[in-house]
Amino acid sequence: MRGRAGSNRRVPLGLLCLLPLLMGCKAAPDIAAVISGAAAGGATGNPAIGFAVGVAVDAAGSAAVRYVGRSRQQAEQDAIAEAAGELRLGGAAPWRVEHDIPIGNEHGELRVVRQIGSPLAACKEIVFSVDDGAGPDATRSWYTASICRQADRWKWASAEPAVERWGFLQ
Amino acid sequence: MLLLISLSGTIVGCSSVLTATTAEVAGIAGAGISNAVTKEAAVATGIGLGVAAGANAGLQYVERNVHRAEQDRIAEAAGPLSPGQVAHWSVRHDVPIESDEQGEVVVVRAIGSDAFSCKEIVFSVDHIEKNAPTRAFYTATVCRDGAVWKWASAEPATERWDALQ
Repeated sequence: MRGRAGSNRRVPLGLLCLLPLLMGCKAAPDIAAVISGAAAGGATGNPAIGFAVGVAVDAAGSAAVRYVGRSRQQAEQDAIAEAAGELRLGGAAPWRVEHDIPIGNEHGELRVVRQIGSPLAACKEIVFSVDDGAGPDATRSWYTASICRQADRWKWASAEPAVERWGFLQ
Repeated sequence: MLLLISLSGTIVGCSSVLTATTAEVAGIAGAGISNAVTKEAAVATGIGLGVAAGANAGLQYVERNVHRAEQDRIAEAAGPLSPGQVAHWSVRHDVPIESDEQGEVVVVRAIGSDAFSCKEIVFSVDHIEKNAPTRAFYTATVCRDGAVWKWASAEPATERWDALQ
């Protein structure tokens, strides 16, 4: 029974997985889960099986959305770190990230505001902007981060916040 | 809580699978129980979702405790150091949700006044990959709270959370 229900869930999950990729909508796995759970529950006449399938689809969908979201965020961090890596203190450069799926492309400017020398690693403190729009409507938001050199390339280095400050993160 | 811990032993270092599994097991059990009470599918599913949410909150609590242990150990190692000094840090977890980790930590700047004392740190997380050592470097801030040094980096701007939640 579970095997049959399990094969039912592939179709809606496959289709609905595309939604968050294009819209950045985190509710999509829940929607997929509800639809799949209801379908499986209806097919078997057992709400517990329907619920089990719904949860499984929700878990798979959430994991997929998180993986895609993090990969894209990492690509942006890598682009900024790479652009900043070769700059000297006070140097400025443009940065840009272009994803394979052309949604969420970002660009801006960055500056190295501090070299952090230590016996352990070479690091830099950077300020970067995320630019939006063009002409008089253009907006520019500034952020700070740090990058360190790992082996042969520069990587984002800002560590996670203190657990006490996670709040709704997780 | 015992169920969480016994589950965690089989799935180390993959919190999304662990989160899903905990919620799933609890939710299915919850829906099964409620199905014995009511034949109404929507009610049974509602009860199942409530149980799943409760289990998930419990898991997140355990995950935070485990992760806090790693932050505490790094902060503890960095606390006594002067700028430029390097020390070793390591953490061994009782609950194997996260891997045991180790590395080195260096203080790069001290920030303080009469009222507070903080240090900017760079720390490494050392691994062995294909018989070759690899090191990833990260930056953070620690501050002294009373007698103990604690992780002090605040959360990212909410505009930058995107994939974090």
